[in-house]
Amino acid sequence: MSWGVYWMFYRCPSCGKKFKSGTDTITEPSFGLCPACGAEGELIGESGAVTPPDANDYEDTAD
Amino acid sequence: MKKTIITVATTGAWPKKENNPNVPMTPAEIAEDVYACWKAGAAVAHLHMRDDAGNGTMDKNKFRETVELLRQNHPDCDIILNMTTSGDLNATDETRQAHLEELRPEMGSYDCGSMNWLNSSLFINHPKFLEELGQHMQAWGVKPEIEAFDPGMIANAAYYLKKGVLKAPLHFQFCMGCANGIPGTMKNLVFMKETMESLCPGSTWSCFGVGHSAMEMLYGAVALGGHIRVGMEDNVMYAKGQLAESNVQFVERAARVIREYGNEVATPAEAREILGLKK
Repeated sequence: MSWGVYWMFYRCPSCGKKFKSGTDTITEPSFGLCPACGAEGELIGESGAVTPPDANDYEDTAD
Repeated sequence: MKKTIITVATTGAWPKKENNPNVPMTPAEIAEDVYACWKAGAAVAHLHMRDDAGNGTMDKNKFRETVELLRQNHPDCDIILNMTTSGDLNATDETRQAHLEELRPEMGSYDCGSMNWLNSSLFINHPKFLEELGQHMQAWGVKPEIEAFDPGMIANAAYYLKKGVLKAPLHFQFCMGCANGIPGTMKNLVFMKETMESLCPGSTWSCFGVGHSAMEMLYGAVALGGHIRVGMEDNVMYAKGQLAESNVQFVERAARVIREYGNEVATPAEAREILGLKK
């Protein structure tokens, strides 16, 4: 049994961009950093019960 | 020429239509999908079932219905069936095995240890359950596919091999990149392979990569002489920003990679030979 990517959802405190990083990319330098301005994101949710209701609107930092 | 086995994991326990509308969920959808993947080159189908609400279930009636539909509608299909024993975290030790006892698939998954699950729960495979399951699988003629989410689970398999709970030759599925498991990198894949060769020599192996590591693990498996698992249980995205159209799409890509590398895609008959299965 596997369970897909485990996401951590962020909002950029500088520019407000919503983005997400999968823990399968946790070693990537871009993990948790805003893809627009490079600021460290504010964690606002994760996969499972605390997934944001607008999860589809978050950009993957690995893209 | 070397043969590479493609396993397709069509459904899994987690993705729903809202994640990808092409995930097969019902017995009829799963049976048709397995057949299409077999025609595309899959030699093994790893089966999970869903209840009527779309949640993972170990209801043996769903497994039976799927197998019956596949056999009735497609008697030419000789794909190897590999049924999960871990399709619902709330299942009991009994319901995790009941379908194996009744349906006697050629293979079944054997999750060789416990771990945290999605940072919120536990994926429990108690020693008592693993010992019982290993003995039952031997008695029922079901070959364990040993799912290893980290190297410790390979060591656990070596222990059960020495104890007689598992019987050589073993077949491993390295589960790479799952949350709380070993990350899906080439370095880690090599480490898993070498750990297996050290602890359980003579074993065969396959792997899959969840999410972003899927392609790295596909190429790694072929280059390192292993076998490969693909499908929507592990990935609902075919590429960055592109939802998978079908499980066939994954199987066709794996077949292309295998052939371009210079290997051949193993037929079910060849896979049975490689895995030591007796149909």
